[in-house]
Amino acid sequence: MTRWAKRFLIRGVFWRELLRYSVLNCPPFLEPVAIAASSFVILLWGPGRRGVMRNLAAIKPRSWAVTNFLRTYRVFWNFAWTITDTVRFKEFRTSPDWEFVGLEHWNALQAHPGGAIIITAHMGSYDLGAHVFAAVSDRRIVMVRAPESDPDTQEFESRRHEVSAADSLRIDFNIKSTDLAIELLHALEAGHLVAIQGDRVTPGIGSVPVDFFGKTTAIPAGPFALAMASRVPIYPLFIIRKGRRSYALQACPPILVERRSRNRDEDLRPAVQAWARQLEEIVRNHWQQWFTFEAFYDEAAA
Amino acid sequence: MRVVRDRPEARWLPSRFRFAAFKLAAWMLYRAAPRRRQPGLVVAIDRDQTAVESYSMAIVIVTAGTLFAFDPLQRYLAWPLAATIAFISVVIFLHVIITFPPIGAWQNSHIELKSFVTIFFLAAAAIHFATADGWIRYVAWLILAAMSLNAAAAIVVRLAKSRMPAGDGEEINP
Repeated sequence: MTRWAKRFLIRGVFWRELLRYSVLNCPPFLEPVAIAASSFVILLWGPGRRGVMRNLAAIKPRSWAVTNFLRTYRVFWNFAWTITDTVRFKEFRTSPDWEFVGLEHWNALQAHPGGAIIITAHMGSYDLGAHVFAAVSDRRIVMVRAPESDPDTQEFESRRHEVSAADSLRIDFNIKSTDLAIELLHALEAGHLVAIQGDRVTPGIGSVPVDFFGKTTAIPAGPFALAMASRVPIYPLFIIRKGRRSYALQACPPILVERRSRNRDEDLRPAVQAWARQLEEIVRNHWQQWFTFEAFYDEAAA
Repeated sequence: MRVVRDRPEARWLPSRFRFAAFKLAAWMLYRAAPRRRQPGLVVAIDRDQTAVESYSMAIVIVTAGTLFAFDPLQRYLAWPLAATIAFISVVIFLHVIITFPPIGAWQNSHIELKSFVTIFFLAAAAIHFATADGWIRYVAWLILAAMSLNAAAAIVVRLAKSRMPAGDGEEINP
């Protein structure tokens, strides 16, 4: 397939450019129409639709396939709104309404001397949350992102991030895990916050198997290994969409990773399992916003 | 970007609405809303912020457009088919308005132009059907009445601007 044709694949740069163009041209009172139509178009993406339906079958066992199909539309509806809000923020600096839930943990994170890790999921708007965090906090934050699979899309996103990122927000792509780990360690030692998504394993990243909705899945070990090495707490933080241009930033009690033995994996396991339980609870209550478009478990192994 | 912290009644600030009729209604609700404190709440001040206005306008535009398209179609087609074609046609037409290349640099925002074009077509359709036979003229009169109401509200908003809460709050720079 030619490079030009790849632009039109689901992860191709054409759809990012179309989204940006739409945000620049769609009247606010027509957004619901455009979002509804876009969600329907995303629903035609077979692998994504099937991935979400498989996940929903595990999150909501004994539910009918037709019900999960309608739920899948709702997932794509929330996804379309979320990415639109993110692009609108980058273009116009239009902030949504925010509600901080778990304020005591949020304040503890702000007041924590030294570095800390923020672990979150593919839920709500990771980008938007990081930018708003940078705006309302005086802490410097380093946000780790998985690189885009399409090089043109990666270049497009890097350009948009350069244009829109605040001084207190730095974005790193986990292309080379060892180089990045050293940089993140230095950031934590300098007292900065490091934000990582902890619900998806990208190729080449170490992982720990956990039980998740009765299935075995892999959780990235990186955030926990980093916390162990730098002796900083991990704060689970979730960005939950409440409605049009309205989000809740839910902070949860910190997870501590302690080195107790020579077996690093065994020492990581309690923290990873604590995170998995937290993630499971959030996903159970907000399944319509968990933007994981591949099955989180191996059906053959399950 | 201006924001108001910890005050849930700020959701009804008129400056969070675009259309004058909604601004007036919001002003009434803001005055009546209980004053309480909700720690951790951040309300952004932007004229297109509210869901109720956005969804209401979208429903009115799509419904009115569909009915205007349905009226001539239903004379030739069975009503379910006519309704389906009318609805799809309106959705496509609205997307044409959104995506039609604007005059000028395509990298710039043309939201105001597209908004004007959308309302213009709605008004033109309402004027056309206002003198038609049958039930469709009542739909047209409703749309024209709503536009007139908004125009009257715009005069009231302009006159009462100094008395309306201006979205006092703090400036953040995200």
